[in-house]
Amino acid sequence: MIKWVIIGAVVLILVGGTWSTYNKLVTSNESIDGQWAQVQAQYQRRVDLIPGLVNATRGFFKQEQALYEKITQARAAYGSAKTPAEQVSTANVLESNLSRLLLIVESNPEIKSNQVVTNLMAELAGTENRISVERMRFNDSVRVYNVIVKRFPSNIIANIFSFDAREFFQAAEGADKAVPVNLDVN
Amino acid sequence: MSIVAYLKRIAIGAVLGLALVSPSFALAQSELVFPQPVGYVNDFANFLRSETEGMLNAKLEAFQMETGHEISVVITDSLQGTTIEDLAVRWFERWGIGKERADNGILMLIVPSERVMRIEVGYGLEGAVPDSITQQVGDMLVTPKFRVDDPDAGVIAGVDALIKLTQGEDVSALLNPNANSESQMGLVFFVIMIFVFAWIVYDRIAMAQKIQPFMRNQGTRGVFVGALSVAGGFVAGLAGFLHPLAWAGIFAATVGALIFYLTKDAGKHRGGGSSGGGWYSSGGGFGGGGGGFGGFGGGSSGGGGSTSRW
Repeated sequence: MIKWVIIGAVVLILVGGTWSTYNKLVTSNESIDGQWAQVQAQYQRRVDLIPGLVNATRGFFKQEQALYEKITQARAAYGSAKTPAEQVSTANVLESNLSRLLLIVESNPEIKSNQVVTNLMAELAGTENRISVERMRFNDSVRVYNVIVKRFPSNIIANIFSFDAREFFQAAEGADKAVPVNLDVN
Repeated sequence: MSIVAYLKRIAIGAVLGLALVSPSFALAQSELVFPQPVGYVNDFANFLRSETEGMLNAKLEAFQMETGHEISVVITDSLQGTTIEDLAVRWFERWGIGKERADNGILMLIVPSERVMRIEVGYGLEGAVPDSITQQVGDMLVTPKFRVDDPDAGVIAGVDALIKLTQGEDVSALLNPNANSESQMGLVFFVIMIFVFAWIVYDRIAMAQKIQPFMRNQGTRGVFVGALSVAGGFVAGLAGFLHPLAWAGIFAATVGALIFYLTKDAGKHRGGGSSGGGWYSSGGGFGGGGGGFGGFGGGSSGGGGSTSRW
């Protein structure tokens, strides 16, 4: 009769452990995807705000036509990106060009006093901040998931059901650094 | 060779197993320090007069009662080595300003020593309070007063503006809590599983002991099912269950302990069952706000809002 108690306890541990670990893996995997959707939503918000800023400032910075051209191209490239990897790389190109434009606008007192431009700048700055927050949370949820995938004993269950570790979000190279700005406005 | 002796061994094994597994649960926390909230207005830098603080607290409390929106003012001495954007979103996250799911909170974070402030808007109020508006509130209503050394007027003007902006925003539809049905299913399933399992095992044992089914002592069955439920509680901890299932373990253990108690006269009960669920109680973690302040509602923000300097 003791045999049954021991068998029962072992079965409970195995079934319960597998069950809960599997569910944990599914849940945290889903939350990564949900978090990625948040990042995408903020990318889209940025893309939607760009035409307004371009139109409102283009007249002021005639010598920056090349930059405007780059931004327009990067925006189109993001729009046609299919895979998450493509979206990230095109969004990063857009981000670095856009941050140049923001710096130029920021350092021009004349255009900064324009209320339309100020509002657009605030919305864009808020969007950039949202993107970095959602990216940080994306990486946090990847970290939680990867810990389960790699930690013993849950790694055994992850292996059986083929849950692989997921990649962290790599920020745009140089996106955090200040960009040198050509400031001979005429 | 009694069941109790074996259950004891299982229990010790479970506790040891849990001790081995639990350190890995401790995920790396950010090293930033967030004090407990003392009210809607938290002046940790002695920036405001205390009458202003009291007045704003009363106003924001009344506003919360009326609309459900939670607006908090935090004044702190240090950016703690990070940016104000980062500090604000983490502070917001830690305190959970706004109601859960409605995310209808706003944090006005002021760091006088750095001459910088941020208005961080919860997800649910981003429509009512867009970034360009918070920028105007910060740049035109709040910081101009800080520049002329009238911090009280600046904060009051900012809070009043935020109240006006969010007044019309109705989030009551989002406030009905019904998100936990799935985990409750898991709980019920788990408890039923343990009971069915214990029942079957008892039948097998009774069979092996050549006891006729109709002659079984119900008290003994109660003890047995109860003991296995307690073991189930331990096992739930050992297996590192998710929260809902850990609760199921505690529940199963409590019910088991109850059966122990109720059948103590009918069966050959030995004491000690009533502590079945207690060992796990440290695993909870429902952070309640201390002191007289009831705490915030668990809302979150995603970096919306704006930063102003003076």
